Amino acid sequence: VALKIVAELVQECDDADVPKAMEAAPALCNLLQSADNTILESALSCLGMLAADAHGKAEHMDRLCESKVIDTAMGLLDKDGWKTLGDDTLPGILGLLKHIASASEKAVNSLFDLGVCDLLKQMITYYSRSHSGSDKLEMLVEFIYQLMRPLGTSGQENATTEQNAHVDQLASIVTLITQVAKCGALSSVCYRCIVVIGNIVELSTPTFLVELQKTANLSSFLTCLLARKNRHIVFQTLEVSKTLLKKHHQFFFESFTKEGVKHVIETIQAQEKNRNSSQKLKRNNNTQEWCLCFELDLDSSSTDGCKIENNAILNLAEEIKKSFVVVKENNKSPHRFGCVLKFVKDFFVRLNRHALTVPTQDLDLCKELSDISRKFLSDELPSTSTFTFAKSGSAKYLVDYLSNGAYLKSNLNNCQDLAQQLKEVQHRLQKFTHLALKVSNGSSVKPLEILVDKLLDALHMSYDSFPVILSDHGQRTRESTMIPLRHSRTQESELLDIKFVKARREKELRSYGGVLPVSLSSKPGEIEAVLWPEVSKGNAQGSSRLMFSYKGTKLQPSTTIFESLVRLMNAGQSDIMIDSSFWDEEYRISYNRNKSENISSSSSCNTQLFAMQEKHEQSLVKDPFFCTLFLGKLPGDVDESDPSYNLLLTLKVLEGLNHFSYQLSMDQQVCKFAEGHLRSLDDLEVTISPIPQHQFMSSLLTNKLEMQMQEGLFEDGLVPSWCVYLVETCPFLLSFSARWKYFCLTVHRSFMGDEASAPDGSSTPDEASASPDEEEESDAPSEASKKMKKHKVTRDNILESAASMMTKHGSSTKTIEVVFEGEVGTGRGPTFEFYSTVGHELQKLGIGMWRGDNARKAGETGFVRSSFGLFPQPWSSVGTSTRGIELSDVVKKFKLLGHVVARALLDGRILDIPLSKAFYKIMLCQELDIYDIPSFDPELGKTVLEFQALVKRKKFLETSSEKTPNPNTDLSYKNVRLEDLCLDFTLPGNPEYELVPGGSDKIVTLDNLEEYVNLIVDATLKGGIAKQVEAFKSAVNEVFALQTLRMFNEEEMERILCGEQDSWASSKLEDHIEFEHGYDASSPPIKNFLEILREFEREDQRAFLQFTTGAPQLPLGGLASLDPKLTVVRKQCDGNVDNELPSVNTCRHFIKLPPYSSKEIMKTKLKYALAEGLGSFHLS
Amino acid sequence: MARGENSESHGSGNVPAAPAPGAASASSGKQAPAAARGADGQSVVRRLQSELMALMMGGDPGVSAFPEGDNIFQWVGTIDGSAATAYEGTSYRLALAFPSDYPYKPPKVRFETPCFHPNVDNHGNICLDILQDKWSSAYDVRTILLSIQSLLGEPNNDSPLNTQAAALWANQEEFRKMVEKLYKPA
Repeated sequence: VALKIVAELVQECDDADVPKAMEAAPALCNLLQSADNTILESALSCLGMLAADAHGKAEHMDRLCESKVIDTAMGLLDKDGWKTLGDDTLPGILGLLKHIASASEKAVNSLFDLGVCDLLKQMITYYSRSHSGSDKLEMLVEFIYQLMRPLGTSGQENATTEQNAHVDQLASIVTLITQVAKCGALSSVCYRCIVVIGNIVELSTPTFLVELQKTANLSSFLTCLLARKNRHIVFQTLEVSKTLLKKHHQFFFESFTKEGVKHVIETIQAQEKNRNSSQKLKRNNNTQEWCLCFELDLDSSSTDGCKIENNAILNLAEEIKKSFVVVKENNKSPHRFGCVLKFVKDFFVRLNRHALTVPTQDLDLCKELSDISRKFLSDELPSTSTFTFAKSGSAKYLVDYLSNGAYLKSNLNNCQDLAQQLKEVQHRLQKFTHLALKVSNGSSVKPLEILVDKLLDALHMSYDSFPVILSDHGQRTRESTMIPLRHSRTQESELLDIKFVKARREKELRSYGGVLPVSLSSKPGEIEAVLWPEVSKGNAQGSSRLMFSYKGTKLQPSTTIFESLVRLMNAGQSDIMIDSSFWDEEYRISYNRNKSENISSSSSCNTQLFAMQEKHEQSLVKDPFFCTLFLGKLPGDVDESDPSYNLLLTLKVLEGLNHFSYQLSMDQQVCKFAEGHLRSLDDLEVTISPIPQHQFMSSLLTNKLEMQMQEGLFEDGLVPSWCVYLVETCPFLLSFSARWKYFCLTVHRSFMGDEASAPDGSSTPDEASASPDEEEESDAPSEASKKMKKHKVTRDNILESAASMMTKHGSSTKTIEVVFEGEVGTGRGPTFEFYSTVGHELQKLGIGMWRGDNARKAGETGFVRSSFGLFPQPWSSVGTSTRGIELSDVVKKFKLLGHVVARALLDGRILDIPLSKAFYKIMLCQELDIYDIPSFDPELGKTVLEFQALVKRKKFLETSSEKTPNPNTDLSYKNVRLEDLCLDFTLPGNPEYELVPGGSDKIVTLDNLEEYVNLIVDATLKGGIAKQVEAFKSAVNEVFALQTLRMFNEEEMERILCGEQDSWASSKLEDHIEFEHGYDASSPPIKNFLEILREFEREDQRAFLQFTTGAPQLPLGGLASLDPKLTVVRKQCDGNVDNELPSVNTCRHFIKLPPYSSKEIMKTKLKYALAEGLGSFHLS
Repeated sequence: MARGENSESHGSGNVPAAPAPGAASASSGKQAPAAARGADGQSVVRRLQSELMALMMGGDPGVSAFPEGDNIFQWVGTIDGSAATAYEGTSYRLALAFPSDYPYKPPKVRFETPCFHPNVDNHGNICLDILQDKWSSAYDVRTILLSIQSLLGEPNNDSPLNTQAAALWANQEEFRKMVEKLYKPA
């Protein structure tokens, strides 16, 4: 309390009182050591204010230092302490240190002595990895900047050895800072980084810089930044380049040439010249950019404009250019750079030439090609600089090669031999996959990894293609680390007033006088629907009948009107900040008749392709990735001239190739076997493995999306088109957590149906108008009931209760909570238990849902055991019931599963149901093929694949009959005649499922093997499970559009639905469990307790979690993300402690643990409670 | 009663599959699986019958197998220890249980006679690759039994189930003694 008074006093005191206030500092410092968070925070804020008041006056600051402010503050941060500090405390400390450091040299020295550098390194690494701490990173960089200042001002003449040591320490952070700068979502972060780097470079010795170039690749970094549009960044980067050249001319000249700094500078020079000449003509073209100059200079009092003159960049560039020329004259030695560029270019030109021929027909050519590809991928690529790589047009050529020339051809004209092309493309993919995923020459990385790295690096150069749009009001309302649950709409959504006027020369249309309010998410198409009836004279049909333009620029139909406006008004900027006046203005958009007929150019070809895909049995052909490759363009409306387009396309193709590498290479093996290159069926193995998915993630784009999602208007539709586009076509570029957040923030729009202006296609049936039912809102008419729906279920008949609940509330926009009939528990605990119980019920033996159910023994009960995950059991279309199970019941259960899965996703619940990867694929609307069978039934899959190989071999032999018979190609199944296997045309393991009518009497022979294989594959993956899958999918669609899930992959779906698998593995239990009310981490009962937890088997863990949280699995992120934290408190007991039982509060995740006298007793009691406590909430 | 149905269906071999389980399941839920097992696997029954024929006609020395009782999914096999191995002169009984999706899935094979061997545990479970992940539909009872027979003479000591036996293998004399000591023919 006293502190608050002090705080007020400090706030009021002005400069004159500072010395007095300083006297309070030591006392405040002592308070910093207090354990209470509130005291800590207010003490901090006092000190912070003190520091801010006194800044600029070294003598005050020195006094502060003496009072050990720094020591204590650092003490708080040290040893991972910063991780545990609250969200407000950390900025407080950093701010305080920053103020002190900016004014006092002494303070800086003592900070260095306390090892501030290591601490900073840790923090930067941590936050840059989490992708959501950009504000913290910004603070850290600013802090480093302040640390630098005294070093800089003291000048070189009296640079002591001590200071040099400090510089060295700081310089080790440079690598990290370059990463931060490259990936920073906003220009401001990037600008700070480059300024800091500039300072460090200024102070470092030449030899040190050489070292730095080797570790951090400074030159490449500079190239990356120079490619940006932001003039401040460019200017600072040029400054840095200049300094580097000054320090070590020879060396940096070479690396600049190699990494393309030279090239970029020349381009900039040319651009600037152009700019200057054009500026004379157009005065008003002077785009206003918000000035970053003053962000770092806290004490700068100058108010006049930007420091950077218009010509500054040009001058600087020319200056550097001159110094290049100087070097050139002195240095005539040929550098490798030219050779590499030539080689790379040469390689791709050659690739491209082959792209037009068919290499399979010419074996020598083929071999030669694969030889040079191998050489290129394994030897040259690692040492090639990103710049060389990008400059040589590699990406373009690569795609062109893989797509069999489709990419560079503007149109597919020879539709006739589509099948031939398809085969060829597949062939090339296989070849390339083989080369790219093979580890060679003892290196530990696969060529594909390097390739992807380079591509991503190159992609980061096109920073400006993905502008973050932020509005000023409601700034960053979302906490950065929070994963938002569903959003409840409280405020009105933002609308723009737009006046639509007829274009001047337009005669066919009537004019429209009014102003239309347009929501942020509206696209021109939606406006057209409203406007067309008003303005049309005739009644022309079809879409895109109107064309809209703003100030003479045509609006893209795929972009929202809002975004188009903002981008046009802020042209040439990399981040856009909307100021408040934007909302008040009225905009004039003109419209005219769209004359250009909307021709779907290659439509005939497309339809042919689709027909082909339909027939093709391989799933990869049906994947969007293949479409992309085959048509040589990314789906959707995109600006193909954008520099990032090629890179995105290439990455998309490579990702698909990686994803399907098993299919591709297995198919290759099967073909090899068919042609006799593989002798035995036992050799049908795939030896290559794909590279991990996260290699494809771009930290820059992830950061940008995270930043965009922190914008408060994101849910209302302030979603730039690049976000939508990336999430839909290239989700792999974004981190999983970013996509999950995106899903949470946008999914509500897919079921808002009637409110939103966008009719979304997703069905929202009767729910929207649901009348309030009796059982809800009777007890709690509070705020909570607006977001929640309570529903009562009975434990005995849980599946039926669940089904009725889902039909009633399934498509509700509110979170559903569950209460068990006759029990007092409410809230999260019972709801979690409800979901996991339903999950369990759906895995029971004897309900006919899953594979493996058939194998049960007489009277066996329990759960379907499937170590590879659950997959639907095929049901014959003929019979509707087997073994007492009705198909209609099974279908109903799948419907329930769909509802439950969708609700669990939406409400953030966890299902305890181990679905197979293949089933997740179905959920994600991916196609399955024969190569998916091994993933859920390895034995069946293996045999079927072997049969398939045999079929192919037979076909091959039939087509090439004139050749001499190859002794390697016998047609027996592992030396057994097929007839001797005694297989008939029924589904393996399910003799009642006849694959053809009368199938149980039809024996499988070599001649009908193909039919048999196709029928099995169809029954297992398609026909046999169609009704179940259909029920499941339509049930999900009733809740939200299933399509929206496509941004995830199978593994991610599993993570979302089932929580973390091995969260316990991290032995840091005590870090995520809290101890209160008489316990702390060192009390003996707690030590015992933690030991017991660690000894628990997986089943015990699940039981324990079920007992304490209501769900047997932890949410995403494991124990750490359990909210509220798992807390252990002391249970008050009178009488004998050892007779008591532990009890829980599942809502608050409390476990009340009696202080048992020994570990043994505790273990027995705990296990007893786990076994007994399950299945009821009466214990409390 | 269930037994009777079983014998009938596998005896005649050509009984249509569909009606039998339908009728059984209508009468009692619990009996349904049992009844189904009999009619189960037309193709499995056919396959097992043909294997039985092949085994009886083939006359491989030292291995034999027959269905146990009326249930064609349960077999009893016998293998004799090969000459010039520590198992010479012994004869082991094995239990083979065939799944309904045989030959896609391997049968479960277990030693009934106690067997001291590095790859056999106390309960008679066998660690043999072709009975697990290396299983192929082309294998049959005969290949299984022959493989187990050869496993007796050539154990895989790298991944033993019975570490004592694996350790003792180097000393063939002592090993032989242990084999005899633990050998309890039925």
